[in-house]
Amino acid sequence: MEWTTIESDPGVFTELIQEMGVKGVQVEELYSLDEGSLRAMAPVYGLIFLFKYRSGEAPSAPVETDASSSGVFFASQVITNACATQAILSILMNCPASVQLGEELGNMKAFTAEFDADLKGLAISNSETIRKAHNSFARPEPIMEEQRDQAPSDDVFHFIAYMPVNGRLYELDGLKRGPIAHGECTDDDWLGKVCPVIQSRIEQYASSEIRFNLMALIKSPKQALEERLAKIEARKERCAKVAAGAAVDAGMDVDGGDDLDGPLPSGQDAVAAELARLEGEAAVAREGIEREAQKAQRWRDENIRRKHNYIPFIFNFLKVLAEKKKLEPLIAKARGQ
Amino acid sequence: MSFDFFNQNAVQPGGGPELGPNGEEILIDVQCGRINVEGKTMKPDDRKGKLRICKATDGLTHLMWGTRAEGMPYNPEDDFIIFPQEAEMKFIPKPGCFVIKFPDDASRNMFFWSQEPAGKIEDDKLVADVNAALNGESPESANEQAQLMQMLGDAGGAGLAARDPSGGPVAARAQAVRAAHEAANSALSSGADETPAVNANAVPETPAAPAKGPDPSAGTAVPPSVVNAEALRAALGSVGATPSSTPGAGAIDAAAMAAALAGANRRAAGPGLSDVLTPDAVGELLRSEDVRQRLMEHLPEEHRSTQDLEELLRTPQFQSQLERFSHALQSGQMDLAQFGLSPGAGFSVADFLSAIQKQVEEKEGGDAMQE
Repeated sequence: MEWTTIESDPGVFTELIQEMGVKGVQVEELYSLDEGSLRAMAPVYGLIFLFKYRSGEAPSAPVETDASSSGVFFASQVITNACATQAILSILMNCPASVQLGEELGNMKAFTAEFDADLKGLAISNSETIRKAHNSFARPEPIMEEQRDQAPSDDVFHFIAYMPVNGRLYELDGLKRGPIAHGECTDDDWLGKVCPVIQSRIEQYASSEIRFNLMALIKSPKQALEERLAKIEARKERCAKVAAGAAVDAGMDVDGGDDLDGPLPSGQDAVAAELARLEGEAAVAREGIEREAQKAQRWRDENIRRKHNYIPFIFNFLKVLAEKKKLEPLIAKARGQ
Repeated sequence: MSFDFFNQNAVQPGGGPELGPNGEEILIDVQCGRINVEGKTMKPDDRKGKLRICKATDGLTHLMWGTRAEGMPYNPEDDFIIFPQEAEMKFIPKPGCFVIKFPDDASRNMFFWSQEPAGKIEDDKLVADVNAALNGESPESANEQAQLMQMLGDAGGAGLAARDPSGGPVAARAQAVRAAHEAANSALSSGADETPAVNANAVPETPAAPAKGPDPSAGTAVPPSVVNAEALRAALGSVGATPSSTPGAGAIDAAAMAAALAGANRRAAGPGLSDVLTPDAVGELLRSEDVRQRLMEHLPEEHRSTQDLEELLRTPQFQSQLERFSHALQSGQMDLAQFGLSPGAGFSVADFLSAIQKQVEEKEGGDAMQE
């Protein structure tokens, strides 16, 4: 049962996660490693650092060999070609309960809870659902599998996940014996603490020309924005009621910490101003939702193209060119004339 | 894992991996000599030597070769760091010879001739063990892993296939090794009858005739065979040697050897498809409604009414498929039958386009005749 290599692309990973049954999680690529950029994407469930693999590096901090004692779900990586999927799963399986894993992953997590790292890894590699989702991103190949050489662009990349679990910052690398703890953290300050950890890893490779990328698993912005828009609309409604002279349920005036919670202002002018402010916020939210929808459509189109075999298209195009007597100049070009 | 009778290395009390002089973990030792490539020919180095693959204390895998001599410590002349999946070992068509191959950089390829006694270790096992070591794994643990995964059913196939860097089934490569070996009669085994039996109790008699099949005593220490240099020269036909009486011997053309090794890595000359099908060259045609109608059925369903064909040409996904198409074509791996074309004179893009031109002309000629 084969696992094929797949492209390392946030659009691919996002759809992969959805195909495994998870809801409301998105993958975004990061172009700079600073707390500000990370916070802009919050809530961030975990980070994935990918780089060209070097065998047998010494772990940077003590490796915990008994992952379950610290409450960390840790699976050994069994399949070489499934690096990325493995790293994504290591984050998903350690996410807070608010993340909807879906039936397959939820069952897998419960079923393997008492297994050691190797057995967890094997269970994952045996999952038909996960393997099918992964392999669905295999690129159509025009040649026989047995004859295939290593294609020119195949790189050996390795993926490592970083995330907070139960108050500690962990490095999850399926090729190591267990999770590596990098000290204590909270759900709030881990983004600041993880930057220097990843930075020092980048510096290890500074002298050799090693390519690396950084991706974040975040709450789907579209979902977050839709929730926000709903809250804005609700508050607008209440403002409108106040403006019309009606009484407002006092129980709703709770300070929840963001700009949509808290008591409504009193006085007609203040309420009118608040309504105007909320209109502005609603417009911003709608713009954001529209932007995310366009991005999702773009990613969808890219994935459709990735999975589609264009060989019949190419061949038939060439035949059409021949029929229209347009192929000769191309043949000449191909002969370097 | 080492069968070197003159092993100077430490063995840990209570078992465990064998360690070298600097604390490195020895993954595998193979007795063999170097073959040097000079220009177009391959010249064997007569000296007795040993290839060692080990894991240093910093965790990096090293590939070393050095001479071996009775009573002397092993002092490698060459020492290279190897990353996982960077190198692969294969037997080559000449009997008893193999290469450590670097698909990403052929200039690093290293050739050896085996000095292991014939039949001591089955070729397939040697290839599997060396390749495991090149990936930084001890052959025993690689075997255990394979067994564990077989026990758990489906994962077994996936694991073995996954360890194959080319992504294809391991079975196909094992078959290639068997085929290569079947074609050869080991020249080295003809020297086996000169090997003295050192200790009749502990060591099996080295057979006079080339051994067939696996040596059941593999794993017991065996004294190094005395290499029959004459037989080796006859087999490899190095330049400058006196003409050999062995039929078929002659100077090996290193380029031909490299081509045979590379097999499908050889590429036909000329531009790729994306160099020929540029937006400038074909953009106008892609914009034509007539062409669009003809090609619509070959687009993904979701894109049939919306995809702009010229835009499609520029997408990374389409370009990537064009590139892989060209790679398959130019390396001779393309199944041309799927296009109704028979394997033609060459594999270049120009040849392919000409074949299509011809196919269309023939059909039009046929249609015309029916009118």
